[in-house]
Amino acid sequence: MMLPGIPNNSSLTITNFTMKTTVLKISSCFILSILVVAGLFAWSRQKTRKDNGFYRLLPPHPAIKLKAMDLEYNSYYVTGTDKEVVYLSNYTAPLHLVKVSLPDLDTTQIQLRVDTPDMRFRKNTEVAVRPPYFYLMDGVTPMLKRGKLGEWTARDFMYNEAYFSTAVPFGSASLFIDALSNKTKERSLGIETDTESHVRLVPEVLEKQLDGIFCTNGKMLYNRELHQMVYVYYYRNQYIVTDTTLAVQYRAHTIDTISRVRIKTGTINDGKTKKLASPPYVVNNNGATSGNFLYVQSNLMAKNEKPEDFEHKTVIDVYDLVRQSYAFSFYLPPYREQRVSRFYVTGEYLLAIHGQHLVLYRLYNEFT
Amino acid sequence: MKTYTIRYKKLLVEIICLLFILLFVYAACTKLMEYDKFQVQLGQSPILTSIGSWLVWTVPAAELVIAGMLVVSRLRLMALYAAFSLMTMFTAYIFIILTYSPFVPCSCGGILEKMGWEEHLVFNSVFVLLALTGILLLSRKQHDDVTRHSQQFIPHHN
Repeated sequence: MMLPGIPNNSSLTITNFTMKTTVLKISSCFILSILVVAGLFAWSRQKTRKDNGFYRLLPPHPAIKLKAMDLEYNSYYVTGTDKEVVYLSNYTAPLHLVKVSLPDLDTTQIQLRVDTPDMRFRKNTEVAVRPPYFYLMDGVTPMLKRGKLGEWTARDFMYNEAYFSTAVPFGSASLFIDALSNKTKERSLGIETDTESHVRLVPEVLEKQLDGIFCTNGKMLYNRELHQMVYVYYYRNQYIVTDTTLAVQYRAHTIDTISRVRIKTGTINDGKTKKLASPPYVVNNNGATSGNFLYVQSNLMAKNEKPEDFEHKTVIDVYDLVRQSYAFSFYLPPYREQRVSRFYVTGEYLLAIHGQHLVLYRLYNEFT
Repeated sequence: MKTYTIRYKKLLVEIICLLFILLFVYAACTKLMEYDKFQVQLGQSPILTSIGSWLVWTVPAAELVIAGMLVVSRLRLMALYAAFSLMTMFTAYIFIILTYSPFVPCSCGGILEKMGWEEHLVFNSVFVLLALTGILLLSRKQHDDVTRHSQQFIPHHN
C-alpha cells in the first residue's frame, strides 16, 4: 500500500530539487555571462579612454566621398569659408583665388588686386579668408594687407612691422602670430593688433622641451564658433586651447603616447643658426577645427590598426573641444593614388587636397 | 500519450542541439576563414578594442568545443549550459553596444553580416531561449530516467 506512494513522493521531491538546481544553475550562468561581458567592456573602455594605451575608435563610414575635381596644380590650399563657399589659394600664385561652392564644387576664378600693383610677392605669402575680409600675409617682409570679399582689392590696413612665421586673423584687425621672441630667441605665440602696443607675445603658451624653436613647432588654428585658438604640436602628443587673449584654457593630449619631442637639433655658424640634426619624429601632421571639434591628422599607427590600412590611408583623430576629450578617428583613402596633402573642415564638410585633386567628403557622426 | 510527449521532447532536444551545432560550427568557420578580417573587426569594436587580440581565437575555439560536446550525449547538458552562457554573452555584448557604445560597428561574418544589430539581438535571444528549453527538457529527462530506474529498483529491495 505504501509502495506506489514512495516513488511518487520521492519523484516529486527529486523533481523540485532538480528543478531548483537547474534554475539556480541557469541563473548563475546567465548572471556570470553578463558580468563577464560587462567587465570586459568596463576594462576595455578604461584602457581606451583613460590611460591612452593608444587604441583608436573607428566607427564605420564616418566620411563619405561626395565629389572630386581636378585643380590642375598641387599647390592649392583652403584659405577659409563663407557660408556655402570655400576659397582656395595657391602657394605659387597668391593673387589667384578660386571660389568653390559646396557641395556642388562649382568654381569661380578670382583675380586679387593690391593697392601697390607693382608689388612682388614672396613665395610664402599666405591668403586667409575670414568674412567679410580676406587677408594677404607675409611674415618675412613683413606685409599685411586686407580687402573686402567681393571687392577683391587688398590694402594696408594696420600696423605691420612684426615678423612672424605664421599668422591667423581672428578679428577684423587682430591676428594670432607665431613668432620668434626678441628676448628669448625662442618661438612664442602672440597677438598683433592695430592698437598700442601692437604686438603682445605670450611666451607661456608654448612649453619648451628642447631648443624652444623646433620642439614647440605646431599648427595654429582658430575656431570661429567657440572663439578659441587651438595649437597642435607637431612633435608631441599635445594641443593647447586658449581664448582670444591667448590665456590658456586647457592643455590636452592627443591619443598617442609620444609626450616628449624626439628630435635632435644642432647649431651651426657659432651657435647662431639652429637646424634639425635628426629627421623629425612627427606625431601630428596637420589639423583643422570646426564646430565643437578638432581634427588632427596623425602620423602614428594605433595597436588596433592594420599596417596596410595605415600605409595608404590618412588617419584623422577627432577631439571634442567642449568635452575636452578624444571622440573617434576615421580614415581618408587615397584619391587617384595620392594621399591627403592638406585638409579643411567646415561644418559637416571635409575638403581634402590630394595632390592636384580636391575631394569633398561629408562627415557623418553623432557628434557633429 | 506519455511516450508520445517524451519522444516529442527528445526530438526537440535533438533539434535544438543540431541547431546549435550548425550555428557554432558555421560561426567558428567563418571567423577562422576570415581570421584577419575578424581580428580587425574585433580590434575596432568600441567595447573590445584593447582585448580583441586573444578573443580572436578564444571565441571560435569555444564555439567548436561546445559544438563537439553537443554531439556526445553524455556531455550534452553541460554543453547546453555552455551554449546558453555563450549566447547570453553575445546578447549582452550586442545590448551594451546598442545602448552604451558611442557608435555601432558593422561586423559579424557570413550570412549574419546581412543582419542589422537589432535583428541580431532578436536572433540571439531566440537562441538563448532555445538553450534554456534544451536545458530544462534535458535535465527533466535525465531525472525521469533516474526515477524510472529507481522505480525498477524499489521492488528489488523489498
